[in-house]
Amino acid sequence: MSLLDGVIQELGVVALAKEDNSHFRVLNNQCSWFDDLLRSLGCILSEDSSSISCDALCNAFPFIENFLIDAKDIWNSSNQQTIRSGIWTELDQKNNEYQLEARACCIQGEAVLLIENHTPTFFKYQGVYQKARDIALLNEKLISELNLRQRQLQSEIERHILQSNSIQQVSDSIQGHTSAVLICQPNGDVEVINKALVDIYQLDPQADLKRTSLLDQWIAEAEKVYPELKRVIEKGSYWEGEFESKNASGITRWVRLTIGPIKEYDGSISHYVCVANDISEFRNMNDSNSSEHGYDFTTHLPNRRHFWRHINNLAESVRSDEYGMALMYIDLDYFKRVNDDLGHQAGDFLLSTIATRISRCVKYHDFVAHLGGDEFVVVMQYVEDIALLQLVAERILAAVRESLFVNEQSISMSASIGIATTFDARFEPGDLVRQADLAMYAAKELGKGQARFYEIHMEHNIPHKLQRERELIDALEKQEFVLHFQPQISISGKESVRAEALIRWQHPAHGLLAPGDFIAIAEESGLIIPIGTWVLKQACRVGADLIGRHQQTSITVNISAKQLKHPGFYDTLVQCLSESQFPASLLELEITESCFLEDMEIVISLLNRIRQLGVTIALDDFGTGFSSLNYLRKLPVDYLKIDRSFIQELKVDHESQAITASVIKLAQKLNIRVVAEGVETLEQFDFLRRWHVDFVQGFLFYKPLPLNVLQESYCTIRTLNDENKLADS
Amino acid sequence: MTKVIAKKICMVGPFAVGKTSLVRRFVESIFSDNYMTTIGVKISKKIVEANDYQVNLMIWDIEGVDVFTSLKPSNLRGAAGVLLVLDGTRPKSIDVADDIYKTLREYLPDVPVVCLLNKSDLDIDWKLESTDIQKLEASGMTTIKTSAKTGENVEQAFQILVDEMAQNSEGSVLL
Repeated sequence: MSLLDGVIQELGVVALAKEDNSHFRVLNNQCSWFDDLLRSLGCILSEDSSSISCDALCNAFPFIENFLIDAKDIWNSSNQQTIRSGIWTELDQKNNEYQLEARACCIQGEAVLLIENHTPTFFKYQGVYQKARDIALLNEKLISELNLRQRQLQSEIERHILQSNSIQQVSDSIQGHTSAVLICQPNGDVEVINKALVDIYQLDPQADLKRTSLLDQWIAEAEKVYPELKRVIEKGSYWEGEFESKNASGITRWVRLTIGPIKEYDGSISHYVCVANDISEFRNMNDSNSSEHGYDFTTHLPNRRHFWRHINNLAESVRSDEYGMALMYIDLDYFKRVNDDLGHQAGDFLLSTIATRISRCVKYHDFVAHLGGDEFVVVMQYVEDIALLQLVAERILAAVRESLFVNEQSISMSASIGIATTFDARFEPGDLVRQADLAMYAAKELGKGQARFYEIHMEHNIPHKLQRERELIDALEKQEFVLHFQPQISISGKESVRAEALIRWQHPAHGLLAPGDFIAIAEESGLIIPIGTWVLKQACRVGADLIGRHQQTSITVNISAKQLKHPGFYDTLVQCLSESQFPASLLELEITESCFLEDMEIVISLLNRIRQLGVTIALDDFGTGFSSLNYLRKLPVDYLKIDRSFIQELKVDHESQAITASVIKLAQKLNIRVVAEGVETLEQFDFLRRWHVDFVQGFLFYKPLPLNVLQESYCTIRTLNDENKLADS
Repeated sequence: MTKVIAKKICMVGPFAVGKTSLVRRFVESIFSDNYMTTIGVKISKKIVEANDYQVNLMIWDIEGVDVFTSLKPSNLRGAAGVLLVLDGTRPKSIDVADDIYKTLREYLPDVPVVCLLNKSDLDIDWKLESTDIQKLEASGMTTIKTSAKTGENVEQAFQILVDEMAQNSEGSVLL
């Protein structure tokens, strides 16, 4: 076989020239797949395989019969166009699938029909569409779910108003809701407005919100597409719709609004209940018009679809192989945590800032896209030297690391970057993206905050996350988890010994791993439920055992939002306590503010049931989330843990001192006891003691201790408690 | 002697509504829960009876419509009937159906269109309301609830279309 034969065979293209109205001349015979398929379909080439009749071809391939009608137009026209049939699938007698595509063109004045076999690469191609459609399906489900929930909330509020006849009670119940709620009188005077509405519309919380009626604005905006709106609601009917709405900063967002009137006994309207959700993200994904432009609303960068279109165009365009092309896959580390803690709006601000910084790190002809969530890509053409890519990646990493201020807090992010390159004039976009993605995973595995180039061995490694998931399942079975305990020292001196149970993973290859190395994966995969249950069981067992050793210790256990909201959580808790015989009064559950982000009332009711068992509740990381001193009084908590970030700033930052002092004072007024975590210096300790914090926890006293060391330290901890008491009095 | 004729019918609709699953259920009597998106066109064949004719159905299973892919009129050429498939659990598929139906009427003004409201086995998630169905029927389509999973009404849906095709061409030599 000559080199040319090999090349044509590799390309999988059969060329047929139209001889007359009844025959095609077969121009090449290197593609055995064509002969095999024809034979399997009962079609026979001429004896010397040099021609095939039109009828035979059309009988074998009805799809081509249809395509020939369009092909004839091209063959009969004078311009040099080529048309493609699009892909179709043929089955041979053994049910093997062939993905084929026909092309019609004129070459040197002859009518040519090319039949290309895409089978070898089809599944990669299909995979891209499969992913896109899976995402679109998920998106559709989310919209449907959102609509349903919005309607449910609307009816709940209406029912609540009619039953309780008290707008104030309703106001309390919807303050923490993630949907924006406005309740107003028919003249627009506002009675209730919740935080989500303030956030979405960027209203000035200092302003008199009672005067900030959005009803008129909504009607004016929505009437452009729903001219009947005013009539419908004035008649006292329910209305819902989606339209573009401007917030206080003049930014336009897509809003889904429902308006339901509340009627008096005489049929007159007393109030309108309006529920709104910001659906910009969904609309941007779905709107085919906006996909023409394809920009992400938050970051104003090209979105995922735009990116795929761009890279597919690059792959199809004629490119010199003198220059290479590089794709950088950038994933922000721990973004989800930041987003959960600071809220959606702060998360958006952070993404938009980082997007700008990434864009500034590359040249004007490079392409930066925001794929969604915390993922960005940079496509760089005209790459002469791979070493330069490392410099660009480092520039991006440094730009992301620069601190930024969100909600008056200084935050420093980091990113992991995977880099894939190609010097082939033609390349497979899906492969390039996958390679960059694998390299990004490898960068995360190295400890985040760094860049890695794709290497072939990465293909053979199971991506880290999946591997960790499997290892976590094994770890549960093989009992590789252990608990360490960090004592909390009493400043008031009245207490028995208290310690926080902290999970560690005795990894067979990597040694003792801290929660930061695996909890996020456990959360994402759902393994946090069985792991959390193990922690709870083990903590109760240890607690009961310590009592048997006359070392009674109150034990606090961290409970994730997912775990708390799991339907079986309460029963599991009761079971752990009864099996271990550990007194409920010595067990404390530490939850974070994110537990209250949704379904606040349900969570409050669950916590009340838990407290009835005798278990105490501590609110962890206070100050980092949506902390509001006002809402604190609503929550059924016994302890408040001031986040370490405040404690660590105490010495230098007067603001942190003021916040910490006021939190302590308020908690004391509410009979909530205060624990300060992350105490590392005497100055911090002195400050906290001055303000009568109840407990301190940190390296100044103890780092997390293995159980045997805790037992050995028991007497010393008691002494420390007593010493503090003496010092205080 | 029974006459044998060949007829092309097209399966069209939004993406992921179950067009390919319906064809597989009808032609091969099998069903798989895994969603594998169709790219382009796949042609399957099955013989059915109508009016003393043996009809060799050539079923063109055409890639679903989404933001990347619109319905290619050239694939409709020569079709004697169309099955427009929707997903009864996805109200969004009704909106898309409206546009598809307009395209069908533009390129195939006289052929019968039967609308399959698929995934009837998912009754808990069923979202289509009777008003939606009335609207579809008012535009001139016959509607029928189907499930490729359980096989409910699948044979019947194809038979309804073939019968409508037969009625449509009554008096003509073809069918």
